[in-house]
Amino acid sequence: MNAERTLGGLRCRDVLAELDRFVEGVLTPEELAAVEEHVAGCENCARFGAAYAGVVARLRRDHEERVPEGLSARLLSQWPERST
Amino acid sequence: MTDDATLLRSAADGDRSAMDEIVRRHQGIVWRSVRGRTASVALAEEVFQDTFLTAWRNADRWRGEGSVRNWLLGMARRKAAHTWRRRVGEPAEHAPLHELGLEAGWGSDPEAAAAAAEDRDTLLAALAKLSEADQTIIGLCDLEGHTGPEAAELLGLTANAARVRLHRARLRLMGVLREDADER
Repeated sequence: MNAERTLGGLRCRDVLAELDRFVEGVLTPEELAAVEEHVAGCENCARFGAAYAGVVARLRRDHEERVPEGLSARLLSQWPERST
Repeated sequence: MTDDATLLRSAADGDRSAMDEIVRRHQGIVWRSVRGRTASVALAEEVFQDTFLTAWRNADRWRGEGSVRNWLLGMARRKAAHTWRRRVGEPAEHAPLHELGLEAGWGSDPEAAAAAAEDRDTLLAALAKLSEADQTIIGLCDLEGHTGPEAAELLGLTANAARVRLHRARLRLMGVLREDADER
């Protein structure tokens, strides 16, 4: 691939460097406009951005993961005597 | 509601029900933290229990600096890290970003990493192959939900350094996911 391709005033590698901020929604309006213009005309960056965002979303979905049943019950009220 | 610090002090004085309450309050985040850093559920369970048992034994050593939650998470992270030997062939920290991107599928097949990540066990196995530093930053920000500045403070980094580390760690994770997908 050609990391030097320029669209929206940004090279592909510049877009790559800002992908995390793009996903977090913390780009300034000017930066966002430039990234969006680049991505609109660059299939590689559009595909990669979508995949990156998908992986981040998947990681964060595990926020909802529950503690296995019975695991903490093995601790509760069964704290060992301290040696001191 | 009794605050965590008071509960921990009571636990230090031998109050088991106070320790129970600490487990109830923090078990979720401790579990997610250790599960994202260990190779199997069995190991995660071991680290989880060991974390709270250590907290019980050492409750009198908590100095009141920072939150009880972060104290527990710090212990959980260290214990999870000990379950791993040093990784072989760890990628150099300063590989150019676009090289990490290429390994992650930039310009070829980025969908492979995203598709592989959908399977939770595959995702966790890939995470477990990352270096301890990469696992830590992804664990803090993406699994535990700390903000970038919070993670930076916990790691003693500037906000920008933490941000760059997280981005690179995610790209390396995509690289591992893609490699694993190729092998299947």
